[in-house]
Amino acid sequence: MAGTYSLAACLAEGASAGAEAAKLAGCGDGRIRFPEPQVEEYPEQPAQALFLVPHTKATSRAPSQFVDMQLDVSASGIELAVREGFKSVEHIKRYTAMGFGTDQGKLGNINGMAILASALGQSIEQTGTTIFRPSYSPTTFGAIAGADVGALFDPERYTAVQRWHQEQGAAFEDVGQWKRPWYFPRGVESMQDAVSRECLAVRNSVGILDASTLGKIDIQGPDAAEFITRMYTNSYLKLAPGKCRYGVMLKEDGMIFDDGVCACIGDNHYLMFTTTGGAAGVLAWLELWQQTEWPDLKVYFTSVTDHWTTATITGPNARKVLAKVCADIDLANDAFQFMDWRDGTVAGVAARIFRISFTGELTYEINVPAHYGRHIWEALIAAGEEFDITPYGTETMHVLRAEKGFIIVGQDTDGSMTPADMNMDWVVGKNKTFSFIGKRSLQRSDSVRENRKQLVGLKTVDGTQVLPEGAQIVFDPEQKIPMSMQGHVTSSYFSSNLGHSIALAVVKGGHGLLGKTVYCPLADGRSIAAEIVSSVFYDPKGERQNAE
Amino acid sequence: MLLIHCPHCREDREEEEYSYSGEAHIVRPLEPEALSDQEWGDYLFFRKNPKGIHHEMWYHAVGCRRYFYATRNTLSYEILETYKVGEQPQVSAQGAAQ
Amino acid sequence: MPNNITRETPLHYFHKLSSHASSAQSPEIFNGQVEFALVVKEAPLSSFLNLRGNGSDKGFCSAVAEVLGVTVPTEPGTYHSNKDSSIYWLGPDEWLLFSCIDASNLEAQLRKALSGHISIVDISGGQTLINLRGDPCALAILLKKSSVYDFAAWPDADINAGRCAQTTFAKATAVVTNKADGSYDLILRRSFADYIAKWLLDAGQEFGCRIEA
Repeated sequence: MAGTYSLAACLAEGASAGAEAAKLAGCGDGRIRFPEPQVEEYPEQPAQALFLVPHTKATSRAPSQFVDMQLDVSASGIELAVREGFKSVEHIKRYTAMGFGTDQGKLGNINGMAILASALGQSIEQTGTTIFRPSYSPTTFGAIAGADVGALFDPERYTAVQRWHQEQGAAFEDVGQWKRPWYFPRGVESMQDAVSRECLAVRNSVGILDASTLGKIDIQGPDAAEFITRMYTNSYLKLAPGKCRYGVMLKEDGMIFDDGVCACIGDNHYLMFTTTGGAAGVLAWLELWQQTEWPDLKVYFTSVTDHWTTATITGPNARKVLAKVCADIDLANDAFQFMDWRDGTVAGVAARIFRISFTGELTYEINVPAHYGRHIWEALIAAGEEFDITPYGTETMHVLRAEKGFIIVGQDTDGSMTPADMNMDWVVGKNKTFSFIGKRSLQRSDSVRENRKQLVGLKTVDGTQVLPEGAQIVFDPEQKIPMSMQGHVTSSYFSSNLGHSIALAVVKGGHGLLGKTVYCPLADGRSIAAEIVSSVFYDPKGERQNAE
Repeated sequence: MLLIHCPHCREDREEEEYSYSGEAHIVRPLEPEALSDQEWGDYLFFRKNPKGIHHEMWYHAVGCRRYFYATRNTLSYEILETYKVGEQPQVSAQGAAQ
Repeated sequence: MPNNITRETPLHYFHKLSSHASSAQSPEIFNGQVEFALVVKEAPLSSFLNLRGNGSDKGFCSAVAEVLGVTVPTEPGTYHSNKDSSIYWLGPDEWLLFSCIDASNLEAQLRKALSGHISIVDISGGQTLINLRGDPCALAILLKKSSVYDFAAWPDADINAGRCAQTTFAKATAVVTNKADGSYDLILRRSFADYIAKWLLDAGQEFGCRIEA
């Protein structure tokens, strides 16, 4: 601190400056001509830091004292972190988010670290500082003005049909690095209008989806079936060429990690589909087990995600559309059944067609090498014209699968869900001789305890209300805060096919609570009532995907 | 950034080509069902996390797609050796202590 | 096969965009430059096969060599080629085959010639090869900007052999190889091709960089 503080010294300094100014102005000789004023002297001490303004109440009860203005970290938050047992300034930083803003603590960290030191009962020096990163430490303009902007900020991955989607005015959604059509608005349609139209089109006639982004792994080798069977919860040892099977993959802790269809292409040859986001992780996972644990199993994995364009046609008229462009496959229901795949020629191109379904409708997923992607797409659009074939995006895909209660790994699961939690015990092979990855963990006491969060359907009492995804679920909306949270909404949409909203949720002990009314209290004070119902809202017997 | 020697590519390559895959040489129990919850939990969750010499798995994700092992000093980040799956480390905590 | 079937390389639309921009001298893409020190050219649609097998098995190597007329490179980070085909080392038991022979024909020939534990996967639809040529100094700087790998450490390539590395490229990945004429080939995944092309034009802008159809 610089300057003069005591009243006497201030007066003396002022008098002296005045006399000096007068002299410069030509009056007097610079001497002070009046007596020095007599004022009381107070003892003066060095300046003291005030990191926290004291209050009569404890910090946690007193009005909030914000420390990090950018991230709303308050003094009471820092004290709470200490009460929670954190001691290192680096841990406190991460617990409270103090200094995580773009200022990197330039505005508040000194106060924050001093409050921390006080709470820990030690000196500021003992407490130390966090690492100073840009822009606390100066940053050059070169680092800021680099090439990481616009199209070069992060790779945008395109399917071979990307330009067609753009030309149709699709709205896009980022799925990992992929650009995927979200919905295809016509004219001035809102998103909900477009999605409703697309959903109805699929259930009533036929829709087409670009499913090329799904991960695809080619698996070859004499031990391929054995290896796959160790990785999935169900068995592939007896899957015949031409057949597909849906599988769920667990991490060794028994929790769902990925899912998808796996097809037997030929002897010792399989094609595994993964989720779009899980593709690289699943391939690394397969390699990990083969290379480090079972190098004796003879099997090779190759990513073929980019090789194939996948055009999915789905709906009651899907077969009629396919028949117009494919002459060399017997499409009769008995000859080409649900969960079969066939090689054939579609619009003059060698194609691999999978009769699998994520909508619950009659579906063909037509795969061709990607340089024929746009050709095959336009051929299907032309063949489907008389059925008003409707291109649809990921939002409609999500709604349709939710109507069927099909989960999306990563949306309805969060790394803490077993197959049983998802009501999918049927996908766990009971008679598999090898203890597949994750199997033992399904018997752990925590995996079999009652009251685990389980997948259910929710039907709002007022069918026009769409629950927010992520909303917490309680049993008693009048309970005093903090309420007992019983679960949360994982997927929620308005279903134009059903005429009311639908939601999937995970609720503690949910499988035993069918018919119970639960509540979702919202931040605005409202509470939406919903009934726990089956997670399958549409075609519960699954007849439509087997349609003649 | 670390330069890591890939024993398959036989080159020092940048760390960003690799992904770290956890502690090495953990053998999956042959009969998981024969294990108690506690024994299975030890295999599943408990790791050595040493201060000093650590044997760990790395995946050359952007290179040859092979997993391999590295012996790393967790204090200094120094990678003392890398070796292929099936091989044994030449450097160990016991050896380094001597 | 009917001849009204259109096939599109991964950079099909990028070619259209950049040739249009070239004629208009679009400042967005070319920064108004007329001199181009660097040229990016995508190869026509070709066959790419991923091959797995035991490289220390003499029968395996000689069977592949028999079909392709190219010996299998077993030294890490190398490739061998002739005028029709190239074989790139990707890993200790993995190779990438690039060829102007039809992919299904090539796969059938290989399957006939090979036995034992092998894998052959047609990935032609998912790859593209682009050649980068031009001023050696500009090329070297472009590669330094694009990848953590030190391509400058490579010895010059011969007419039928050279170095290759699968590594990071911008924020994607690529197989990069050097050629006897001083140019480089990049093998990219289809879905990343547009991004890499944008990157190359941006990174090469200071030297003048254009896409040749």
